[in-house]
Amino acid sequence: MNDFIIKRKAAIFSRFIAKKAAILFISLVCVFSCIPVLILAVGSVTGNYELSVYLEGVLRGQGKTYLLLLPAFPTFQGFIETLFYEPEFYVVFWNSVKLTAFIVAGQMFVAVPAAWGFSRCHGRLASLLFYVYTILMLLPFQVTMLSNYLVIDAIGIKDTHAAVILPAVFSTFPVFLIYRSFLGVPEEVYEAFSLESSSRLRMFYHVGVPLAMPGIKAAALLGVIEYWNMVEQPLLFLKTPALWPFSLYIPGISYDNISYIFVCSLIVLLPMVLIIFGGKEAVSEGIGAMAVKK
Amino acid sequence: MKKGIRNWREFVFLTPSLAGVSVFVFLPFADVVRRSFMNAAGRKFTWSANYQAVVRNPAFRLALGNTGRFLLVCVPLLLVMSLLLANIIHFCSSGAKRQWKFLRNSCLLPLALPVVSLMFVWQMVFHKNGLINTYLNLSQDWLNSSYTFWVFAATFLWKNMGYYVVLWLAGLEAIPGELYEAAVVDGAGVFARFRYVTLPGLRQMTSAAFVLAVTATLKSYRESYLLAGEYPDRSIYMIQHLFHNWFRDMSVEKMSAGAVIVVCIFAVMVWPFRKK
Repeated sequence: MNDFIIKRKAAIFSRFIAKKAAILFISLVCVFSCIPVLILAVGSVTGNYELSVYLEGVLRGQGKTYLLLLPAFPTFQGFIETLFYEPEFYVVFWNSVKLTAFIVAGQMFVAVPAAWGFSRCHGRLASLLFYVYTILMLLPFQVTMLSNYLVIDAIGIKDTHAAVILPAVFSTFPVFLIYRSFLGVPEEVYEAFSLESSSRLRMFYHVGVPLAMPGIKAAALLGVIEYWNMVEQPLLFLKTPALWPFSLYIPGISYDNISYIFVCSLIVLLPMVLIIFGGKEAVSEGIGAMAVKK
Repeated sequence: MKKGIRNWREFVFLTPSLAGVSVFVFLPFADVVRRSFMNAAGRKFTWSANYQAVVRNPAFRLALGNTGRFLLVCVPLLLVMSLLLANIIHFCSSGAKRQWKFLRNSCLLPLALPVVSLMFVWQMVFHKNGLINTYLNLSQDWLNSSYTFWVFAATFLWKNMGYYVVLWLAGLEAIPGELYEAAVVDGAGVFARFRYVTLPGLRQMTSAAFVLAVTATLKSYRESYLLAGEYPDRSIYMIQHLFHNWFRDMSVEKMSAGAVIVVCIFAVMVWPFRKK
């Protein structure tokens, strides 16, 4: 009897420890996640001179760098300069918005029907195609870069936004994600619907899409995050700086105007933070939609 | 094939995607395969000369080795750590669901931070004279030495942990509780329950998570490009770097042969995960 009690106590104790350790670990991850945001936020209200003192190590390649928590001379100069005086940031910011919006919208139009088709077709051809799609999804962009470039050159859309938007619209990654959430829809629902109407299109639009909506939303959100940060495709296909998204512009800003970099980095961070905290339910639910209950 | 004919209507839904992918991937890739057998100007057939040159290229071998090493380190670490964490959260969150929910949702924050912003902060932290070296009084060059590999691996894990924890949690919630109760009645301890109830229940999830994890690992090239440039330290030089530099130098014949080789490698790797 004593043995049993000791075992139970040990089990409860180790669960207690595991739980506290998990909370600690996740809290650490959260804290570390917030630190970059904090650094950027603090830095963006600090003046150029103060920043160059604190970040001397990084900026001048010698000396030391210190963490700035409370600027001695806070100023909104950086914000005013960025938002009102520099047209370049305005242009690259809205370039990014345009690229992201068009790509994700296009992806939804193309990938959702394709995922539905894959979830309903069970033939060998469909399996083979899906296999090829999975390979394409895994391949790093650099491997297919050459083939992309050849097509873009042949079509003649080099150095336009279409050169970045079109290949990304036909990416196979959202197909994979949305396919998994379509799989979760039970077959009986489709059978019930086909008693009422034999239109495939209606079945897709009125039954399939609403039921898989969490997965679709999650894929869209992930797509937004992914293409907001896009670097490789614009780097290679867009030569005119006026067409660049901010992810190419910001790394190129010289360290003379360091508070400008802080402000720009912060401004492009804000939409993402808003999306995550506004859409966190949709994202969690959507990621969860990939757990197929079969 | 009766099934094929009956399903042609479903197939129609695939056409927009298929058309686009054919134009932007399949057709040009056929051209790339053609070019891999020719010389740089694309006039003379050189058969397997390009393939031999690429396979013997030390940079290619280094890049393949590093990419493989990065994958082998990051993917299992990511999947295992996030699975353990999700397990603990799932089984120990009896009461106070709200605080767990908040933590679970804020796990996704690292994923949302734009890479350029993050890399700017990382420059400050990991630079030779950056925050870490200043506060710990070290002089290690974190970004240009063999530690670079671990810096990037840690960054990758930190960024993606939250997403995979949410994924595993959803998978764990799908396992019926009765199975666990039955296992307890049969006398199964914690590890036995994990091995015989949890793991089989997560099997489908695991294959999807694995594919996603490999994709995410390969995408982390972006961070290393922004932080370390086109010629980073030897330990982190991956095939993406190699192809990027070949593209910049317009070494078309090397890129073609290399691309075909890499696609074949991936084809073999993905074979077990195809739709059945």
